[in-house]
Amino acid sequence: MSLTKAERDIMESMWGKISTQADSIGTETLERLFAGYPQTKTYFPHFDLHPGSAQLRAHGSKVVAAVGDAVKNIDNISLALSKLSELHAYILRVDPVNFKLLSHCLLVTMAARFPADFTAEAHAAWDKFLSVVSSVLTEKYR
Amino acid sequence: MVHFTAEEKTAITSLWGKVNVEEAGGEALGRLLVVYPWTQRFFDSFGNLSSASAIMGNPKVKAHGKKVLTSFGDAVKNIDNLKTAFAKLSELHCDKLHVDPENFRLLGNVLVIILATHFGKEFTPDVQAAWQKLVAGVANALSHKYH
Repeated sequence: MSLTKAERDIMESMWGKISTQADSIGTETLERLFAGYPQTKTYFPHFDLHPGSAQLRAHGSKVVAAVGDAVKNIDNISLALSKLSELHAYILRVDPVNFKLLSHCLLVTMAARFPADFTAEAHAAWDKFLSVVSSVLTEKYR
Repeated sequence: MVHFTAEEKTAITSLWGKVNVEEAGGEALGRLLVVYPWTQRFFDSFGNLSSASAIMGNPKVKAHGKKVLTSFGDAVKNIDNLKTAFAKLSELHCDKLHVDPENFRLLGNVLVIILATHFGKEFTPDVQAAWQKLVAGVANALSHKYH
C-alpha cells in the first residue's frame, strides 16, 4: 500500500493547520482513546490519565510529533520511524489492534476540529496514511 | 447484553435528535465506499463509483444510505434490546446479502467520524464513547444470527 501524489498533497496541506494545534490534538486523541476503549489504559498504569493531566499532554504531544515526522518524511516512513518501530517491537509491545483504535481517535479529533477540510478524500488519505504508519510501527514485531 | 447508562442514552438520543438522517446516511455510505473501496463489492448495480465525487454525488448511494441510517434509528429507539430489534436484518445480511460483519464495524466508525464533523466540540470524548458502544452493539446485533 503506497500513497498517491494526490493523497500526499492532501495531507501535507492539512498538516499545516494541524501542527498549530498539535499538542491539544494529541491530548484530545488520547482522551478519546481512553474514554472509548478503556482497555487501552492497561498500557499506562504509571500515568495519571485524568483529563488535563500533564502526563497526558506530554504524551499526546509525542504522538502527534511522531505523526508529523511521518508526514514530513512521507516518502520513507519506514526510515523516519525506524527507532519508534524498534521501541514498539521490543519494549512497548503494544498489541497491533490498538493502532487501529488510536488512528480512529485521531481521525475523529481531526474531523471534529477541521470539518470543512476533512472531506471524504481527505478522510481516505488520512486513514490510509495512518494504516501505513501503524504497519511501520509493527513491522519488527516478529 | 450491552448495558447503556442513563448518561450514555442521553448522549446518544440528544445528538440523534439533531441528525439529518437523509443527509448523514448518504454521507456515511458514501465515505464507506470512498475510504474502503473494497466495500463497493456489494454495490455493482449502483452505477458510477469511479471517484470520490462520483460516489458522494451518486443518487443510489444517497438513497441507500438514507435507508441504512433510518434503520440505524431503530437502534436508538431499541437501545436496550438491540439483538431482538435487528434479528430479521441480521438474517437478511447473512442469508441474502452475504455481508462480512467486519463491514458493520467499518460503517459504524465512519458514522462516528461524520458525527464528529457535524457536531465538532459537542462530540466530546464521552459522547464519542457512548456512540462507539452503540455502533459496536449494532454491529454485534447484526452479526448475531450469522451461521
